[in-house]
Amino acid sequence: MGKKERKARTPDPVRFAYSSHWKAGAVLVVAMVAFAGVALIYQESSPTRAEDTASLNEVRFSELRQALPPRITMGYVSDIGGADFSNNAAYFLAQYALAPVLLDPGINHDLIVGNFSSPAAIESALHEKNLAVVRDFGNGVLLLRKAAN
Amino acid sequence: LILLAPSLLLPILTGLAIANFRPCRHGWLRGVLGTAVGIGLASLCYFLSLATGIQELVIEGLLLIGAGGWWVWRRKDPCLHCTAKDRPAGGYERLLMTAFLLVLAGAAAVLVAESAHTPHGNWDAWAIYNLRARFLYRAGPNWRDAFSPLLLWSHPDYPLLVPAFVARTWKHIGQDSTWVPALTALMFTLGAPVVLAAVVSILRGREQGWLAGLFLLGTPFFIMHGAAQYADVEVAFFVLATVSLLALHDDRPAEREFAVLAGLCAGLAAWSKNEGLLFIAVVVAARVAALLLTRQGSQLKHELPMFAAGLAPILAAVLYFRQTLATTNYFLAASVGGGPVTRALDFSRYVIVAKGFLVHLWTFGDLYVSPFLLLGVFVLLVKPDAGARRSSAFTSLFAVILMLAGYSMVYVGTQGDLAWILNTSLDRLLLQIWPLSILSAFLAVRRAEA
Repeated sequence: MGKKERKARTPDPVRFAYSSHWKAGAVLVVAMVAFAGVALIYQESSPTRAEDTASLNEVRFSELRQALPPRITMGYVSDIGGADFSNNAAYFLAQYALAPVLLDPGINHDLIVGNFSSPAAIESALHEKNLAVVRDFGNGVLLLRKAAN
Repeated sequence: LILLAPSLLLPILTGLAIANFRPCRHGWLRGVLGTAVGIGLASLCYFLSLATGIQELVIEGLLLIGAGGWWVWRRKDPCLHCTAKDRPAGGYERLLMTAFLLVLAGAAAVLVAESAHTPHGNWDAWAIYNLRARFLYRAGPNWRDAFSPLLLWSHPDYPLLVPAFVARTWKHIGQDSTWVPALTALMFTLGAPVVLAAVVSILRGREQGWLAGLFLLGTPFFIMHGAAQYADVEVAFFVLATVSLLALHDDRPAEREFAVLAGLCAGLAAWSKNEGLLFIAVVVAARVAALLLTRQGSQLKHELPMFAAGLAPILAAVLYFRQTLATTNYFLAASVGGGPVTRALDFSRYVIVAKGFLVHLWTFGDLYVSPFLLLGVFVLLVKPDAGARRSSAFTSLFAVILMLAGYSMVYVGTQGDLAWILNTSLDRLLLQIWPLSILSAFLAVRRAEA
């Protein structure tokens, strides 16, 4: 058997030809991924990233949470986030931190959670709502009750 | 993490057995699908355990025995996709596979970094899903407090796939570690591109598979919402999985388990979020329309019962949840301005919704250019394939269109400030159908070869 004949019997490896349309599409996808990668890296390494408010809140409320019984509904007063409690991040975060205790905005319960932004706000709320401090947990977090008349 | 492993073993084994896992070339697809299904079923078992008082491990154990029986019965069947003759690899394949794996690893790194920075997730995570998980875990026998009227702002009508699975796992490890919801989110966020790549690879060639997976990974909005621990990512995963499994069933009608698994995944989409209920109606309608349009209507009489068999147990649990615990959805409730029907007769609302969709389809994705537009450009560049399996492509495309129509009608019937609601939620709804949109495009365009 001659060399030529042997070569003819050995099948060539199947060559896979890509369409030019597909190559154009592939370039588009790769460019998109590259751009997204750069955008994500920039976002992740940005020095202006906000601190995680949920984590900060967990720390603020951790001592109060340990002091509370597991099942209780408490009042809630605060000067943070405005008076509309249906869309108030500070209230939601307090509820998240203190779960499974239920927080009911207002002072219609024996015990009330206070969540304040400043000492002046605490003083103002105690005076206006006639409340007394049961315990001050620091960082604007207080356990309150209605003051005796 | 060491404590987590034994807790995750039971659901993963159950899911792998149900997905009929075989160590073959398509093991990745079945592995990811099985893990997701296992998580979903473990979540349901925990909810049933709370509702009935039976230990969740007993329910999970019984499920594992049933799933194991199914696996033993079917394990000798070869993977039909592996027995099919495959075409040889092209030159770009390894390059694209390497790129996919590198970007997947990069996305995992971003997810871990974000989870370390915001361990409780973003707003909806701590205000809804992780809050509910805390009640289910911390309140013990008083777990129904999670649905107290005092928590109406936290959407107590939302189903419990994420919260119940997280609470169950916390119970097993004895602490409410923030890594449990983070790892759950990571699994679904990274699982979606793997499923997409694997299914497109099987049906439309491996190069197209890697490209499809890269397309999804190239959407920072998807990755960041995974890190934010929003359940929209779970919905997106199960929506994608359902239609993918129907496409695989088109390709291999003899493997009826694909249709059963599709039904199961559609049910788990509904157990993830309310939009999943819309998706069940949509996917059935899309499937019927696609098969009738392609003159394959006779397939329905085999497929629909299989799909229903997978869907029924999950849907029954979802309906039980809605009947016994879930409150009325705030946005769809009747109000001073009339009920949803009155609002649906107000033409101006349609205009606001249409404008909202146009704006958000353009701004979606955090990419400066709409990825929906890029997907359209990709289809134009690669060109539609007249020889593609049209029933799969039509099912996928119709599902996307019907979901968009369904979302629009829900917005029209919603009470409250419509413009504000659109601005704060529409991107997340588009996220739910984004992986499915990519699947639709890749099922419709030509393969890589010339």
